[in-house]
Amino acid sequence: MGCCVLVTGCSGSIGNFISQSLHDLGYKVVGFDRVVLDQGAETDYIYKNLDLLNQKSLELEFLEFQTDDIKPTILINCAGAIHNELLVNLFSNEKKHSLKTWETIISSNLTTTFLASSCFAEFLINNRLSGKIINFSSISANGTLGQSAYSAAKAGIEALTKVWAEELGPLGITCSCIAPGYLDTESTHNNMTDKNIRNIIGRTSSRRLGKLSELFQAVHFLIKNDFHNGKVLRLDGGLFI
Amino acid sequence: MKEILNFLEVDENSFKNLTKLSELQNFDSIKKMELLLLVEKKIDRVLKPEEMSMLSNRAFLENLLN
Repeated sequence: MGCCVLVTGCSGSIGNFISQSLHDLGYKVVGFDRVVLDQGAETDYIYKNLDLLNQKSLELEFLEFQTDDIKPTILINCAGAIHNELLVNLFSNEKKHSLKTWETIISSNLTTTFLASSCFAEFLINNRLSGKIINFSSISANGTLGQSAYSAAKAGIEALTKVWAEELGPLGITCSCIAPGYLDTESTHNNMTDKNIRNIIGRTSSRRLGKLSELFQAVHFLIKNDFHNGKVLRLDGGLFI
Repeated sequence: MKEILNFLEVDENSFKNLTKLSELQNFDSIKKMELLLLVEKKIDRVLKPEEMSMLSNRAFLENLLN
C-alpha cells in the first residue's frame, strides 16, 4: 500500500479498530492519543502519546514528519468524547449544564479536529502533497436530547468538512466526514441502558446495531475514493431516513 | 503560458496590461495558492520564499515562465 495514515484518538474503541485494521491491510499507521499506553502494552502501529489540544506539540510532531520517512497523506480525526447532560435539570446538583463539561466536550471533539487538520493541511501544502481529511461526526449532529455539547460539536465538524472541502479542494486535499449511528461498541453500552439500546434497535430499519467492521468499510471507501468531497457519509442502518 | 492564462481567466492583452495579478477580480488567496502549485509544476521546482512573495507580480511571473 505504501500510504501513511494518521489517526487521532487511536486509543478509543473506534480509533484503535481503524488503526489496527489499516495496519493489517498494509498501511503505515501513526496514531496520536493523549492516553498513555499501559506499561508493557504495545500496538502494531506507531503510537504517539500527545495532547491534541496542545498546538505547539502538534506542530513539533508535524515538523518531525518533514524529516522522517513517514509522510502521512491521510488524516482520520477520531478523537472525541461523548457526554450526556440536560440543559436544565432541577434534580441535579448543578441545576443546569455545566460550562466546564460544555468546554471539555467541544474541545475534545471539535477543537482537536480543528487543530490536527490545520497542522496536517499546512504540512501537506508545505510539502506539495495531496491528501485527505476524514472527519468523524455522529447522528447526534442532528441534535440528540441530552447531548447539547456533543451535538453542537458534531454539527460543527460537519460544517468544517464543507468549509475545508471548498478551501483545500483546489489544492489537492479532500475533506469527507462519516456520521455513524449506534454501533455495537463499549462506548454505546457504557453510555446507554439496555432498554434504550433495545429501543434504538427497534427504530433502526436494519433492526440491529452497526458493527465496527462496517464502519471500517466506510472509512476504507473514503480512503480509496478521491471524488468524495465535502459530504457526510451517514451510516446508521436506516435509523433516520 | 496559455495554461496559466486560462487558469487566470484572462486573455494575453489584458494580462500584459496588469501590474499585479490582484487587479484581477477573481484573484483571491486560494487562487494564489493554486497558481503557485501550477507554476511549480510548470517549472518543475519549488519556489523559494522570496519568489513566492513575488508571484502576484505580473512581470515576475512572466519572466519565471519564459
